Amino acid sequence: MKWQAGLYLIAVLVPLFAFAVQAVFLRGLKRRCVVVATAAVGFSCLLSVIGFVDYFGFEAAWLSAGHGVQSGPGAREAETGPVVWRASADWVVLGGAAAGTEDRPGLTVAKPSLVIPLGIAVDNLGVIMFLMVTFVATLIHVYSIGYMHADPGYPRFFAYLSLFTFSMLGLVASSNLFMTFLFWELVGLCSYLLIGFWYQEKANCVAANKAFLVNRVGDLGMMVGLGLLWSTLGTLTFEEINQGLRDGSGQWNVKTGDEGRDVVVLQEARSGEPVVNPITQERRQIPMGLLTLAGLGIFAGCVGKSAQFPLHVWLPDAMAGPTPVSALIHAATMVAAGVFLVGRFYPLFTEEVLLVIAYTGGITLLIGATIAVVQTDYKQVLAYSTVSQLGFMMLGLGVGGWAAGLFHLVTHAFFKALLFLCAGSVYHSVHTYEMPELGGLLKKMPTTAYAMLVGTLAISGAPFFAGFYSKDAILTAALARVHESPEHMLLFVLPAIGGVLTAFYMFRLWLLIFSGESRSKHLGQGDPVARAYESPEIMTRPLVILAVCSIFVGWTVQLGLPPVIGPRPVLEQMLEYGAPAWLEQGQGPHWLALGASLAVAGIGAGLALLYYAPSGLPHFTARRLSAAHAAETYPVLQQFLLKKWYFDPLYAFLFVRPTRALARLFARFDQTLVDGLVNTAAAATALLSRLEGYFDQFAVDGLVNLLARAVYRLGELSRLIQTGRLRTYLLFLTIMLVGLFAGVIAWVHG
Amino acid sequence: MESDIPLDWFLLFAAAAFAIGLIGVLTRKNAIAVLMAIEIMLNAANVNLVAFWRYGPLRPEAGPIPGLVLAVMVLTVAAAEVAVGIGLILLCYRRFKAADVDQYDTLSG
Amino acid sequence: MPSTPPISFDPRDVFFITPQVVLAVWGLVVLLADLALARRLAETARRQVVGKLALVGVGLALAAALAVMLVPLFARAFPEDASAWFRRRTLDYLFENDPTIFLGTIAGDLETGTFNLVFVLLLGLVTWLSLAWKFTEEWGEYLALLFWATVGMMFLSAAEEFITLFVALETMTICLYLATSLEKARRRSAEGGLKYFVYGSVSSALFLFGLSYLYGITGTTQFNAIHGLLAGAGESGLAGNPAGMMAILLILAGFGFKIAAVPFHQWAPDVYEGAPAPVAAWVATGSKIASFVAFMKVFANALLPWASPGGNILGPGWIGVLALIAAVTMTYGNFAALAQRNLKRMLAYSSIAHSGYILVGVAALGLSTDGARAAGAVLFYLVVYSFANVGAFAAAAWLMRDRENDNIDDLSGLAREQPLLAVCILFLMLSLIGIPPLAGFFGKLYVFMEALNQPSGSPHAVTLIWLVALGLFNSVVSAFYYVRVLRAMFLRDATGRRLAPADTPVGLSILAATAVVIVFGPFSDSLMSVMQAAAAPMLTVPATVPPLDAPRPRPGKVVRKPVPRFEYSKEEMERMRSMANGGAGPPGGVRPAAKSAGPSAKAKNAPASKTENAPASKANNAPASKGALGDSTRTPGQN
Repeated sequence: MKWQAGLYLIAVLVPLFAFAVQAVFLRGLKRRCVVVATAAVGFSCLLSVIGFVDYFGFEAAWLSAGHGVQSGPGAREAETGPVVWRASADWVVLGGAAAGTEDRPGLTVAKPSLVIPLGIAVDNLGVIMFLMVTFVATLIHVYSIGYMHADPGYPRFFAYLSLFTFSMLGLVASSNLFMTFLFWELVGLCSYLLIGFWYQEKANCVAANKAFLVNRVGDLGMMVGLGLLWSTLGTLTFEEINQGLRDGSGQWNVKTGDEGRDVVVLQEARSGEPVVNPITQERRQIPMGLLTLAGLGIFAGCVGKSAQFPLHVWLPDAMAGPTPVSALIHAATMVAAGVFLVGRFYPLFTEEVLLVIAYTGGITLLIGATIAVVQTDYKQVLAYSTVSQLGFMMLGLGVGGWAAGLFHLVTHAFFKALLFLCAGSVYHSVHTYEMPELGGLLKKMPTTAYAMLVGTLAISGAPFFAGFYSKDAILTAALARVHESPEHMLLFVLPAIGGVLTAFYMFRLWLLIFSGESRSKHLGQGDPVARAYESPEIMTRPLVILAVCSIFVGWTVQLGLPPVIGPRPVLEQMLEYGAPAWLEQGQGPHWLALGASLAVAGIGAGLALLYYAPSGLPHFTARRLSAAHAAETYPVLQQFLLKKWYFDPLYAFLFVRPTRALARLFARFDQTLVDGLVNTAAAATALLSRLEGYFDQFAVDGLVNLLARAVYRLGELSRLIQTGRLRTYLLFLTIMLVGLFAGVIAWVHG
Repeated sequence: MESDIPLDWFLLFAAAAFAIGLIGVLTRKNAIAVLMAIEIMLNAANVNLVAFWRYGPLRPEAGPIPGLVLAVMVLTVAAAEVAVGIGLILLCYRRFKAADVDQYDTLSG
Repeated sequence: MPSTPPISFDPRDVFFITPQVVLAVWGLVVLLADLALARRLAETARRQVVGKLALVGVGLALAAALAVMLVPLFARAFPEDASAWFRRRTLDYLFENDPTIFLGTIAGDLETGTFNLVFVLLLGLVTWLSLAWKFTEEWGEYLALLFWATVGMMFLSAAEEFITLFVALETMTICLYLATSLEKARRRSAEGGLKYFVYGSVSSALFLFGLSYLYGITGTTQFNAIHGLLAGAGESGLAGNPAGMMAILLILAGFGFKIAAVPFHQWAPDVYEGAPAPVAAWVATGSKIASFVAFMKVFANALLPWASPGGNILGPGWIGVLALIAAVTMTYGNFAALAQRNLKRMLAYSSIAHSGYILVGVAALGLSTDGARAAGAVLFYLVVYSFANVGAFAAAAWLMRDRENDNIDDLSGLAREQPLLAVCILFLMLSLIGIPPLAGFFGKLYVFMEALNQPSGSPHAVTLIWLVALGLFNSVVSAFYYVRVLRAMFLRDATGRRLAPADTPVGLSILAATAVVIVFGPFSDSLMSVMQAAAAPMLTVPATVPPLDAPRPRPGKVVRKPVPRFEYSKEEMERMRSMANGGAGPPGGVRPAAKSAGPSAKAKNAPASKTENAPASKANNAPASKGALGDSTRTPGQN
């Protein structure tokens, strides 16, 4: 065990220790809990920095000297392989005690058939994730000190946060799927507890339950995958499986099995010898079909945790928790765990599974983005935006952009945490989530406003901001994939549309909250904007730090020059260092991708500016807002009204306006063109998102509800035979027994 | 043994008795009658045991006359069951003011 | 040949049933003490005194159980030290390998030792829990019945032949019938008792009728002898033997009643709801453990040759029937639990569902190549499930005492009134769902892994995989109703009367159960290794009668690996004995003549008699085995 492994072990365990201290001394510590929790996570962060510097110090020197990755770490890799720091001890030894065989034969039962090591393995991905998680978590701890100040559940909150930090770090560090699964459940539990943190409100409880139960559905797939892998390959360690199933060029180790079917054989990574079951001496192997199934199962778990279509329904509801929780768990870290696991276990996934991953990501990003466009609750906008961005990452991984997807994971963690914290800061000040009631907060809380502007620019993909580089990388990877097989054109089109929508809804959000004047109907003291004030420094400082990070984490060595001209971003190269060796990474910068990413950001932001900026086209703004307001006021009529509202402008645009427009074509050419373009884009977007909303509500929710109702109905059925009468019971018993006899006899003689 | 009644006769008799007991349990409403029907079932099994012991191979490894021992044990157990059963029926009779087992249906679902 | 058991009685065997004796006697003591105190003390004071007395009895039984379990282990592990403590004849007795005692009727091995301990621990929790509130006036009778039921359970899990099994089964259930109906204030208690009684008696009759046929076929009641005869008689299975089919299905019905498997389950919800919470807890845990242990002994030992003789899982063999019952049981139990509002009733259906999961393990055991591992998984599941359930029933008892009602909604607001206990119940529920890293998860994991871990190419593998898939689906369904408990506790405000703070009995039961569930999650392998070691002697299989005409080897034939035992090779025995003798003494000369023909001359696992039957396997086993008992001759495929 190298000292670095010990370092990370301590980094994982310190938050657990903090949690234990807080749990035991909860009453005694009271508000001092915060010191324990923050110090612990800060210490972990410090250790992560040390580990990071140690890991990448050498590479950084290379990179800053202008060498590409091919000549630098890549060259070393060929000799020694990427550095991994490991530590492990056998934890669960299934099949008997190996120790003490000599002096206590009585306790020997059998050879161990399953050894689950309690191990950590930190590779370059782990190092980066560690730094990201601990850094963001530290800032959010600090922020929470201010945000949760007045809450009576203050100590409980920090205890949960510590537990969560421990679980998340454990998840990142674990060396095998089994431990990952344990921590997976543990972060799920923390999420459950924190969503329902204000359990006095029923909605929060419903949301917590929904998150828990939807995740169980994903876990079912995960357990199927886990069981399949264990029963065929006999190991769950990432490294063994990742390196044992494919050869150096990424080809599967296919052999023809006993029954003439092709099977993939697990091999020792170094020697190339097949791994055998120590008891039966059979080769460890898995049929191709089962391998695909196992991959799909594990991906199903990731779908649940990372809120991908069709299990994305829980994440928006999970915003019921306190905002720092939304920032930490439901934006930056936990929900990214699914993406992380897909990246971690990448060599396991067959072509088909990767395609499923890519399309799932594509559908999710579109659904999330379109719904975000019509939300009036700014936290909901951010929630759907998270769903959408997670879709981006999945798509990136699915199309083969391993480093691109994970790169986006890291940049997203920074700017989305920033956005959520800014949202929290706004809420802290105005106590409402409704954008139509806000406006003009720029003057009241400038720090928050500018920090949020940075986040908005970053997520929209404005050049020189982190999101630009990661999104560009994803688009590049998608383009390469489309180039390879043009029938999957959609995989490039979907993120492009998503990019437009992202810029649109984020600028809409920023403009509605911060620009113009207050639109609240309350006057004087009732106006939330009038009462607004800038948040305390303990909350704004983390915002500033995160804003700075949201700019430079995506930078290239030549300070922000686009990757087409200069080398690719530092962080992306760091990630590529640990990418599967056979996977072609960084397919070369692409002008088309760069152009596309610039264009989508520009179009989206431009549309939003036209539509929502106070100095833009005022009559659009007014109409849009009044309609949204009407929908709020008449919730029962909402569906009907909204439908009307969308069809009217559509018809008006399709039939009435073209006629008039044609008539006045020559007279008012300019205005009509602008009008038409803007309206088309806006109406189409709105319609699409409304459709998606219906789909979400009726198809997915409806399906879930229908399932639940059917399940409960089945349960009710059971009451029919449980009549309470003894003789009915005995009759049932007799009939069943006779039936069993008859069945067996029929089998024997039929 | 040639002059003995064939084993089949015992088995058929026991099976008939068991069926009678089972039908009795299913059809009688009176709790005491149900108890009696259960006794018939237990004793049908006893007939089987004794018959098998008498006609069986008497394996040396089987230990001391297991069939008879089991039959005696069953008699003992049956006696205990009657005692317990009567007690429970009396208790239920006091609580429900009825000896009809169909009346005891407050627990259901 | 199944060799003849010695018709001799060794009075030292009594040592191995000390816990049973202590409990039986102490039941009487408690009963008499209660009678004596009845006129002198008020009800509450009498409850306290009698309860304390009962706890003393549990303590004594605990000491006895520990001694029975640890003394042989100690003697075998440290013969040098042991020789200072015991006389040589005692040491010889402890070194003896044959675990059957009392003329081969019951076992006195690590399995019985372990389960005596588990029963006593659970009994302690249940007894303590009973003292929390007043639900009956006959405290003496009540506690004595609990004790005697425990005696029945201990003998049931130790039984090595059917007569003992039947008597132990009846002892246990008759005591439980009465205990169920002891809650005087409520009609439902009497109703539950009567239903339990009638349903149970009918099931006993069915069981006994099946048993009579089995006796008729084999002429013996010993598990090992039955196994040998069935294996030797050719593996025609249920197909060629209608009487055997009757026997197996009827015996299955009898056990199905005890473990509450669908379709023999209908008594369970009514009894659990009607019975006082501690009795319900005892029915759901102790009775279930004992029945499952006996079930495994009967099916995975005595009736193993009929497991799947056709090689087809749905064909004529008990595994097919068992797989069907397991599937129906877990699905029905879970779905029915969804509709429940009453906590105890919900727990009843959930315990039915858990029986289904365990049956998956038993089906896997019937096919497994490594019986001890598969059986160990089942035992692990049982123990963990039992502790979690006792904790859950303690919560029900608490509700009943303070809110006079035990609906799930009555738990509302518990988290704010009693945060610590609410968190404990949270852990118990999560463990019952099977959330890692709690013990319940590992239980499910081990059982399902055993089901998946079939030899490749086995025709049963597919069915078991489906069974596991169904089990996984079911555990997702189960989350829905357990979450309802959590929601009531954590996410609702209190509605009814305020709960008085849990006093020691309730709190302790919940805490202890939670500790077990938490500790044996991360440290599951320690418990698992104990359970595997305990399971090994349970599944001993005698050397078999060679088949008259050896059938052709079939694909997918199960080759059960030799089960290592608590036993030493001849050389080691000699070495130890000479150490115990201070280096003197001729080998083999120190034992009584009747027992000098090798480590053991008794039927159960006599290597001497085995080697006579299977000389070919001797050479193979000799270097590696630590007296490992091979049943390789069972497999015609090896010839």
